[in-house]
Amino acid sequence: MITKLGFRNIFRNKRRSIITCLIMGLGLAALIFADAFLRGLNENMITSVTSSFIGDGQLHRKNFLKTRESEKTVENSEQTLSELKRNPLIKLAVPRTIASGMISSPTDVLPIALYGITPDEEKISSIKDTVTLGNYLSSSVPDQIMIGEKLAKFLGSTVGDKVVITTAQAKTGVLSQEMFRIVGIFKMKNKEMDSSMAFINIAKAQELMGIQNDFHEIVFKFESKQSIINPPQYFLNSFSQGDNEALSWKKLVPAIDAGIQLTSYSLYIGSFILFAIIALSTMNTLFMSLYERMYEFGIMKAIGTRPSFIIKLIVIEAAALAFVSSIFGTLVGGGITLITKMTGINHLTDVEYLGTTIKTAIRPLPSTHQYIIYPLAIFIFAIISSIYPALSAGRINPSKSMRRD
Amino acid sequence: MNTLQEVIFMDKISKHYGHDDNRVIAVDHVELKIHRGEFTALVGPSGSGKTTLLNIMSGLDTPSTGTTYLAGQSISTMKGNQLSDYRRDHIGFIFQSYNLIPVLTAYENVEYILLLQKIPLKERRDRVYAILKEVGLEGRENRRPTELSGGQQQRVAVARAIASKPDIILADEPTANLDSHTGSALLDMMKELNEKEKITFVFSTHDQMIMDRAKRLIILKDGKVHRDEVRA
Repeated sequence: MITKLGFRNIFRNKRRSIITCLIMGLGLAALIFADAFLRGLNENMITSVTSSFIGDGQLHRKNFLKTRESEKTVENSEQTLSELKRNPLIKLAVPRTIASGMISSPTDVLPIALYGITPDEEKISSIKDTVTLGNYLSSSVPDQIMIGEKLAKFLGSTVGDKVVITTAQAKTGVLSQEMFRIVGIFKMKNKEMDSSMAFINIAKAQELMGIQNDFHEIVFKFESKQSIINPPQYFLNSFSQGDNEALSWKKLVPAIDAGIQLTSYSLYIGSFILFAIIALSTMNTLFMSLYERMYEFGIMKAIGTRPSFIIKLIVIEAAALAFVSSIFGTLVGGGITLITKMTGINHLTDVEYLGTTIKTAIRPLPSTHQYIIYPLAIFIFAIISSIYPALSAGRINPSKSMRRD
Repeated sequence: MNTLQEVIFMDKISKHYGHDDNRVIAVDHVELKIHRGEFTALVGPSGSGKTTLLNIMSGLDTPSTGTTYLAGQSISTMKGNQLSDYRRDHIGFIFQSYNLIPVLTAYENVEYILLLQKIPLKERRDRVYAILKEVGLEGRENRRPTELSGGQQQRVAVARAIASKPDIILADEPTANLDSHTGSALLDMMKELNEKEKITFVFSTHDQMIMDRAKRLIILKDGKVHRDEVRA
């Protein structure tokens, strides 16, 4: 009888019940979609930052990133590189040299960061895919150089032109110079990289800096997606022995990690606001219904209905509304998430956010918790919100509530 | 003090509202006994204390002083579930505005009180059908209150009131919203129930039709029993 009464009461004022279900359901749908979108955005940012150049992590001599001193090459570089390559967590590991230098064209001289790379192994980054003019470096032609689009513009140079690189020898500090021919121009859609970076063959770079077969950096990529999102600390610690230091992208680009945490917090705040709206909306609906039915509750109590029956009745009504809303919200939220996952959201493509350019369409990421925890939370919240109106209904004084004057 | 024949005994009941200068005395030291099988009308002008007295009789309101005994038990000190259960098992109510639960059918409105009493399904069903037949609503069991006329709704209210086999039925202006013909028919039905089933009725009313049928008239004035007439 109590369930029958509860359900029939919901259909008593259909418009109000529908509006309440819409508020709760659409709120839940928005929460599910926002969560999936932010997860998709976070993953997109991580992929953008790790696949372009930085990799999932890097290994250097301690303090190299602060000082950028050429003599701070990776300790036991060859051995460390082969250990990394053998590690089951690692999919790829490539060496790089890094030096500060000057690039001169017939019209200008500019400071640059000169990277020595192994062209055939540098699959870890998307350097090859960013070439907009000319070709990618060839391992067999040592005097080739690739420069950024903006840098080429500043230098007034293009593919086929010659430039001179000046850098210091690592141990002696003696300047060494070499002429290179521009083989390709790249565009990484990052202002800093496109205006001040150049790539040459690693062997040539080692020769210029006088560091034999040593290198300054090992960039690595993890095998699993889970390790990319949450790089295992034990792994990083195991490669941070001696004078070397292994860092994940979280430490290399802290702004991205902070951004991800910020989006998580904003989701928590959004969820809190949403749950507050749902709670107030449920309470409002139940109180409106309560005041309309005050006389009826008075009668029910007068003829011998226990207060607990009335309390249960109100809670059941709230639970029924929440149940319908949860199903509706889950279907709508899930539907929007799946559709946008398939189509992708392109509006943020090429937008620079937290120093990283979002390169591909954002695809919202569905997750089990969105379809279990959130609907359950809405359901529980609605029930909790119904307790106060239910207690008020249970406390109704029949003789007072039956007075119609 | 109270005998087996007494359904209700009101012992020096007073009810006042407000304080000091704003104090209103609704019921003033009323001492009253209602006996089993009576068909009693509480009459008097507006503000004479009829409804307040009826509410105190049923435990819907508490007296400021005095004690009400229902079926030998003091209900003035009962609270919460105990009072609800006592009302459910011992009192039937009929109100001026019918006061049925609008989302339930005629059958379910009558069944509701039996459900509260935890009467088994078969007995419940038999009793509801029998009572609805008795009050002339056979064939209208599945109609909701809005699908019934005022007179039919009040018959459902009577059926609900007698379904729980209470010691007394308290009726507050039961004919006020009915036309004279319907009101008269309803009163005849209640009178018949009183005579056949020995159900005790107490009415609070202005209606001459009720006064004409009442075996006992209690006339209230300014919260006091002005006259108490037992008719032959």
